[in-house]
Amino acid sequence: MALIIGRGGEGDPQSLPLYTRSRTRIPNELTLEQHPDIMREAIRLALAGRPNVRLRSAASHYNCMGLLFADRRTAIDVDAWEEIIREGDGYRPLLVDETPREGDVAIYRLNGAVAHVALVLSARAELATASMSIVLLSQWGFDGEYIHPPTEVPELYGAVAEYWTDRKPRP
Amino acid sequence: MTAPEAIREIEGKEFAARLNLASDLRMFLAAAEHEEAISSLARLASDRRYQELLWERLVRACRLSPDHRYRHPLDAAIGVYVWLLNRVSSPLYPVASELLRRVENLMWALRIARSLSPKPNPADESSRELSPASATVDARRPNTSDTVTLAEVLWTTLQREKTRPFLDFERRAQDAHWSESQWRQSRKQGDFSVTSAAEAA
Repeated sequence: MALIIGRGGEGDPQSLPLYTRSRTRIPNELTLEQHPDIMREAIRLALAGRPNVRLRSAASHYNCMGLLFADRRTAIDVDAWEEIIREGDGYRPLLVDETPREGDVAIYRLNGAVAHVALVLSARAELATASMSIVLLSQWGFDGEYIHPPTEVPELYGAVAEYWTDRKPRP
Repeated sequence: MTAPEAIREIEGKEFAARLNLASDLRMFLAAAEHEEAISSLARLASDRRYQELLWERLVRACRLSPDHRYRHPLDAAIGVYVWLLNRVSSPLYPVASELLRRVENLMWALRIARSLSPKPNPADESSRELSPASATVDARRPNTSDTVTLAEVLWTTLQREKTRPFLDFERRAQDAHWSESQWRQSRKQGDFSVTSAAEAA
């Protein structure tokens, strides 16, 4: 265990040079894939009792933040979300009268703390039930990438608390 | 849950899959807190015999040769063992943390060890009895130091002592005379005999 000053930072050989639009360094850590035996078990657990969840990829070298903000290349701690989304890349929370759209970001919270992020794949109004039908794409920890409704995730992630977007209003 | 049941659970694939749902260390530890196997071991780990058991499992896991393409299959388990040793302020924690330096393809275990600092309580007489510092080989020099070997020596010693009261360990370690040649010899043969100063003379 080498002592690394600033894990995931510039001095860490196990990280990629990754920056926000405002040129803030994003700490990250390259990781190996999980053993196939463990991935088989992970996928079995992920799909058990979740009929609307589909596996997109059995990848395990990035996490949910890495999927959204590093193009599936590396793992980024969830705690970095605010610095990236709000400060670095200019996202904003959806206003009360806005509805999520494709490409927006869902933020899950458990006991107030951010626990997971997911990308909105599709969002459409269900007139019959006067509700939104939303489909998300996210990496579940290091256990594979899934397409899922907002409510069908591991308990560890809590529930969707807010949606953020980088959409700009039409000039 | 008994200790063997908890160990079996922690070293199982399902446990690894569950904890790997965590996206970062904060979530990993939060998830670990809710695992019954970990709670059971955490309760038992204040007893030195169970610290010895954790140590034994840790060394055994670290000796596995993982497939270089993948993360260590017992990465989560190793992390949990190190975390538990730290949590009960076991004097075995610092050497356990050192041991991880020589183990390849770890992720969680390394993150845990980096986030923790050694915290043996020097005022605690019972912790001194197990102190790995007391078993540190004076002859360790850069060309002979081998953390894994040291860990194995400690483990082997602990195994031999199972039938004796463990309180005796510190006295024997203090009496031990580990010469440079013996140390080198031990590395070749993969075994080491602790010889008391009196026996050596």
